[in-house]
Amino acid sequence: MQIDADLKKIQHKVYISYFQDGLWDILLGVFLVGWGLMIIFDFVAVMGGVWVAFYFIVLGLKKWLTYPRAGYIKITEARRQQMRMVILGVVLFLLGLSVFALFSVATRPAWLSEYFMLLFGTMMAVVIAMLGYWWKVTRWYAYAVLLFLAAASHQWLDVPLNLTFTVPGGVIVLCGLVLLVRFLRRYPKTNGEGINAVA
Amino acid sequence: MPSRKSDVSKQSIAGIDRLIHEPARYLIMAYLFVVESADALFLQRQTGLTWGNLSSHLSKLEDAKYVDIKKEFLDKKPHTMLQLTDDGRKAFKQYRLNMKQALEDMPKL
Repeated sequence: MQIDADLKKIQHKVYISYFQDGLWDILLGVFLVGWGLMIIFDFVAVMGGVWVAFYFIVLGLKKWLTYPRAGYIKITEARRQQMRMVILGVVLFLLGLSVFALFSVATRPAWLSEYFMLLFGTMMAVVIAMLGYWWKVTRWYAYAVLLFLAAASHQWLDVPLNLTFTVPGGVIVLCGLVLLVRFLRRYPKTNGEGINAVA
Repeated sequence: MPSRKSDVSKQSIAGIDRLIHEPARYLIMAYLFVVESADALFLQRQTGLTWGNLSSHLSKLEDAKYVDIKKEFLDKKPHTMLQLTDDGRKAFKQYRLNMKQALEDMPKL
């Protein structure tokens, strides 16, 4: 029914409005670049700190850049709960994967060691695609494909391991920056006069 | 003699809430229906209405007790949050049901 389709379109528009500033894309890109840098420089603890710091920077930028330009919404409790579960699942999955990657080097079977980075990259790509699905942001599917291709090129074309994460991460950061610039141009900051006129 | 189907259609059409039927107000209510609450800036950006239009439609929805308008201060700046009331949510659901029914009852061309 058209009336249902319209409401679904509106719901979709509301959900993706949270991602139109590109800040979450930048965070994802930084996360992947961080993985690449961690492989090059071998500094796990520092990178963990950088990710956490970047997460809070993104939250701050949302408050400082996004809400004064595009407005603020509180999503429904059901949707909030769903997002919390997805984020918790992803964090636990990535933590488990990281711990396994770091501490299973000596005990892995030979076939797993041979295809480990391909499997690791594929799993991360699946997580990114799932986030895109849950948050209804279709461009994240492209990011997932990009990461999978990078992991496959390391496996079969012998592309250096650090590039497997830094290149897709860098591309995603660039996409995020383009989205952010577009967003800032499209939504200039209001002086609040119009808002006060409401009711 | 009018058919039973056209009687149903008349009933469905008669039951349509004219306050919500206005496109701008339908849009405002639809946006508020899919969220818990939103601020005026978000609604203005999404609907593309002018501030004057938005304010006027919101006043009508507030008078009908469909929308709750809360003025608050965020970082010492005025901030208007808008939320559908329970009555508003019920009325919007009923409006959609009536519209669906009315459209289904229409004779096929």
